[in-house]
Amino acid sequence: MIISTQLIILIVYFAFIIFLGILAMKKVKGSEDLLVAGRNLGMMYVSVSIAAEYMGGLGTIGTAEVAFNQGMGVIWYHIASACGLILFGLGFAHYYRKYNVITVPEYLYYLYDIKTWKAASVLNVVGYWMFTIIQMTAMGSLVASVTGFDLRWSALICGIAMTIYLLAAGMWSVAFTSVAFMITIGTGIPLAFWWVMTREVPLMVNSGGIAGFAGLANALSAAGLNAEHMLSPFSLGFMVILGYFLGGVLGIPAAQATINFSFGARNWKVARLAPVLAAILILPLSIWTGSMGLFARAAGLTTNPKLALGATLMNINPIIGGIGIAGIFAALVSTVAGILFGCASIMSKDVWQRWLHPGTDDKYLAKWTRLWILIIGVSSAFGAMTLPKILHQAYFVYSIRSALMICVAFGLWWKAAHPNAAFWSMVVALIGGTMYQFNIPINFQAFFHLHIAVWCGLLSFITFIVISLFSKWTSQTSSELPPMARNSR
Amino acid sequence: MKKKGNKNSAFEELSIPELKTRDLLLFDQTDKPFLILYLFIFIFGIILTVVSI
Repeated sequence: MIISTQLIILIVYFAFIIFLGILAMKKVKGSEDLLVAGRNLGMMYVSVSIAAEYMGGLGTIGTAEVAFNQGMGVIWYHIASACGLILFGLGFAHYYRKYNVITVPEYLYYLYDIKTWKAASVLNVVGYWMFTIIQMTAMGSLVASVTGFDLRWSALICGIAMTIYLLAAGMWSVAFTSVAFMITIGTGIPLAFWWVMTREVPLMVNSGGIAGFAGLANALSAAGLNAEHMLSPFSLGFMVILGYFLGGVLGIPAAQATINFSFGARNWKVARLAPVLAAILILPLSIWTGSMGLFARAAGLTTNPKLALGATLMNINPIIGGIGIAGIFAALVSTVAGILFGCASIMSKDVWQRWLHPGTDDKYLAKWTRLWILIIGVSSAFGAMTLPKILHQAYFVYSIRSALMICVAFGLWWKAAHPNAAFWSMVVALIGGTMYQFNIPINFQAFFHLHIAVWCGLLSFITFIVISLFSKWTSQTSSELPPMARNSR
Repeated sequence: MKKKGNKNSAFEELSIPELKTRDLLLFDQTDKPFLILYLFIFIFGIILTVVSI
């Protein structure tokens, strides 16, 4: 193990975060405190928490990984995500908050029926379980860069440590510490970016002594790469950018982990505006991380794209690098916290309490939520040892989850939206997305030339329209709708 | 026909709550330090990005 200044800064920072988490423990009294922080979060609290949750492993390690391989076209990831957050805030948040829901599947019950809610619960749990694995992999990559440990063991240790930390206090600890996370992310990552571009790039042998992107272009060319292509905002191609937009716009309005904070907002107005403010904060993140990923490539700091960001931060000024690593670590902790809670909320509230054991009271629900955090966290930590490709697998999750947003949107704004259509569009998205991702039985990407987000979005959209148009409304269908949905259809 | 969908007692707590005065407030005094933090991060990020490019 390498004892570096960066590692010492990281350990001190983590100790501080644990201290804040212990302070937050005193606030937890029941399951509502554990899951939605007592629905008493203010505007700026919710917005910084959403931004901190969104700037996780995908937004940092994942974007640096893509930039390392394919260039700066990765900046569209956060532009698309910001659009998704704005759409969620202006179009959906107040509906969720007004109904006092804790999970997205719960809201789908309001719009459709019980079988839709059950399908949504399964879809969400599958998606978030995978997401937890991806984020723990990202966390392991960072720790492996800092300590020199094996990547697989770093992922396992980080996953188990995160699970233990989250078991302590729940959502309050996440909300409480998210402010500290946001300070670290918002200062550490741009500071490291500034240092790399103005101090480290001119020091590279082939940069010509020039700072900024001009010097980086020289170094990339000298490394045998097409600098113009790698620095172009369109280096990923149209289909991938379209996929980012569809993933962001269709994924976020039904993304339990991100929007969980809106459910905990003080009122529906706060729930509506806070995601818009969060969107502004996340916009430039992939410029910072993508540039640092490209720097690692040009300087030849590593051959493993997953380690690109960590390698850059370990090879610059140790204090600045340490603050940057603390920032990325903060981003990862806040995101793993959000998604573990998102997944555990659905498992305990929707699947366990409402589906399997309707008699479970609040005291036992809080216990079951903690048990599900333990099960999901530990199993994901072992799953992270398989080292999935971060952004690639994340878009699989975004894509299958897009069916949820399509169901919510149709349920809100199309009177003919049929419960059977909602159910089958989710089933088709899950099966179709899995077949695409794992090439069963053919390579869909090579055959159709579609990004997975476009593929799943089209599948669920067409399925929804066709089944709604051809399904008959019977007296039984109407009677199975919840009262509020029945009156509006 | 059995109407199973709407009789699930587990959903009974889900209803639109009545509006109170605090439901109309966008900001209150507790938001002030976080608003300063938000603006600081926003301006700090923009300045460092511009000078680095």
